[in-house]
Amino acid sequence: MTDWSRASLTETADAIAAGKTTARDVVEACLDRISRLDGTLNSFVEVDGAGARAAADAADAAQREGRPLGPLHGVPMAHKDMYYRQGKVSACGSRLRADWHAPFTSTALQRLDRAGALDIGRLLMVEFAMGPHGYNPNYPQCRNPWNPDYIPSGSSSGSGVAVGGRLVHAALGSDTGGSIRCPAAVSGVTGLLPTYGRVSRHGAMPMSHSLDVVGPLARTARDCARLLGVLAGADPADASTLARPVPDYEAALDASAPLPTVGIARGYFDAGVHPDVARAHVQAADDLRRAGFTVKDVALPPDLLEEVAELHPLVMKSEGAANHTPTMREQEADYTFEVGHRLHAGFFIPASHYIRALKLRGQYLRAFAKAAFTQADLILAPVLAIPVPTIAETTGRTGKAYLDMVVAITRNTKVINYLGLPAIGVPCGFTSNGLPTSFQLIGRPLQEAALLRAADRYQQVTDWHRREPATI
Amino acid sequence: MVGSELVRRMNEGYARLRLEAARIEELPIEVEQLRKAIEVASAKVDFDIDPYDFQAALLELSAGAGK
Repeated sequence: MTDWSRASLTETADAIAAGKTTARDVVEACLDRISRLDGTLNSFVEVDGAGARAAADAADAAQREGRPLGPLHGVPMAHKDMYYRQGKVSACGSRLRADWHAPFTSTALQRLDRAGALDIGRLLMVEFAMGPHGYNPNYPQCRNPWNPDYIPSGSSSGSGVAVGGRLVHAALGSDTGGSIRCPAAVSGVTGLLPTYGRVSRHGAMPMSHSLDVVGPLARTARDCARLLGVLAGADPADASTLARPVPDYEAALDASAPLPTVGIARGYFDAGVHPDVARAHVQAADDLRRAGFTVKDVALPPDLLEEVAELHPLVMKSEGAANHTPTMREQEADYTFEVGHRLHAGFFIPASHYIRALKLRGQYLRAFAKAAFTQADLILAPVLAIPVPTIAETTGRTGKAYLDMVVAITRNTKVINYLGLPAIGVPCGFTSNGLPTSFQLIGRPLQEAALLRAADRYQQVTDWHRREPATI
Repeated sequence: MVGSELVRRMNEGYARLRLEAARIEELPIEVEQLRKAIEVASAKVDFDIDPYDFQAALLELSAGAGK
C-alpha cells in the first residue's frame, strides 16, 4: 500500500484527483508521521488535527459530488507561522505575538485555499524571521531531519524540516536573505525564491519589505511549479507585485524548446567553498550536462557582489528597525536576546544612507545581469558554501567565530535578494557529515519557468531529492 | 567614523532604545561597517535615479527571458 505522505505533492494531488486515494487517507498518513516524529523534530508550533480531518472530509465530499477540483485538492500543507489567517493566531515566532489573531487572510493562503490545499498547522520560524541558523528560544529546539544534532537553518526552519521529514508535502516559507533556500538545502528539499514582486506579500509578516519574497519549499521542482502557478500574479493589495501574465509553469517543464545554458559561477560564489560542497557541485555540473544542458564557466564580478553583500544588511536592518521601533522601545525584554541585538544597528543608519542603498539596486541589477546573463541563461552556485553546522556550533555563542558562521550561511543567498532575482535551490548530494547540500540556479527576472524546467530536468537524472532521512 | 559617543547621542535623540552601556560600546563596530558599505558604493549613485528604478530594471531585464 502506498504511503502517500512520502510521495511528492504533484503525485499525491494527482492520485487524489484520480481516486487512487483520498484526502482523508493522506491527512491521516501525515498526522501519523507528525505524531511519531515531530516530538523530536519540533517543526510545528501548532497542529490542527481536527481541522485537518474536517477539511479533508469536506474535500473528499466535494470530489464525490463532482465539484471542480483545484490543482492542490486535498493535499496537506503547513506554513511558516507568519502567514495571516483571519481569526487565527500568527505568532511570527515571538512572545509579543503569541496571542495575536490576524484580522485578515494573506493573499498567499487565499490562493492556496482556492486551489484546494489543506492547511494543517503552523510551522516554527525564527523570531520575526531574523536568523539563518533556524532555532528559536521561544520554542523547543527545531532539529534537522537528517540528524537532530544539526541545525534546521532558517528562518523558515519548520518549513524545511516538515517537508524534509515528510510530515507535509509542501510549505510556504519567506526569503529575505536566504530563508527559503537555506532551510530547504539543509533538509534536502527543493526551495523556490521567486522574483521580487512575482508573489504577493500581503498578509505575510514584514521583515524587510524591499527584500521579502514569498515562496514554496517542496520535494520536487515539479511541486514548486504547480505551487508557483497557484501563488503568482499581481495583487492590488501589494503594490510591489509585477503586473505580468503568469505562465503555466508546470506545462513549461515539458516544453520542447532548447534548454537554457548553465553558467558555473566563477567569482564571489566560488570563494571559501568547502571541498565536500565543491565535490558535489562538480558532480552536479556533470549531471546537468548528462541531462542535456550546455554548462560552462562564467566569470562574475566579485567586487560588485561583495558590495551588494554589504548593502543588503543596510536595507534589511533599516526596514527591520522601522517595523520594530515601538516594541523595541517599550518591550525589548520580550524579544529573544539575539534578535533584539540584530535589530539594534538599524536604528543608527541615516535615512539618506538607506535611500541611497535602494537607489543603487537597479544599477547593480543591470550590471550583474550584463555580466552574468550575456554569458549564460542560468547561473549555478552553491546555496551554502559550507557543510551544515551543528546546533552546538551555532547556539549560545558570541564572538567572531560565531558571527563568521552566521554570515557564511547566507553569503551566497542574500546577494540574490538585493538583486531581486529568482533562484531555485536543488539538492545535489551529501557532505561527509551525512547532511544534504544543494545548488541554486539563478535566473533573469520572471524567468522562473526556465529555472523550474532546468531543476526538473536535473531531478529526472538524479535522485538526491528522493532520498529520505534514516528516521523516515 | 562611528564611535560610541555618536551612538549614545543618536540613541538619546532618535532611537530611544534602552541600551546598556556595554551595548553602546559594541554597536559602533556594526554601524561603522554599514556606513562603510554605503560610502564604498556612493560614487555610483545617480542623482536622477529613484528607488523605483529597481522595479523598472526587473521588468526591463525580464524581456530577455525565454526558454
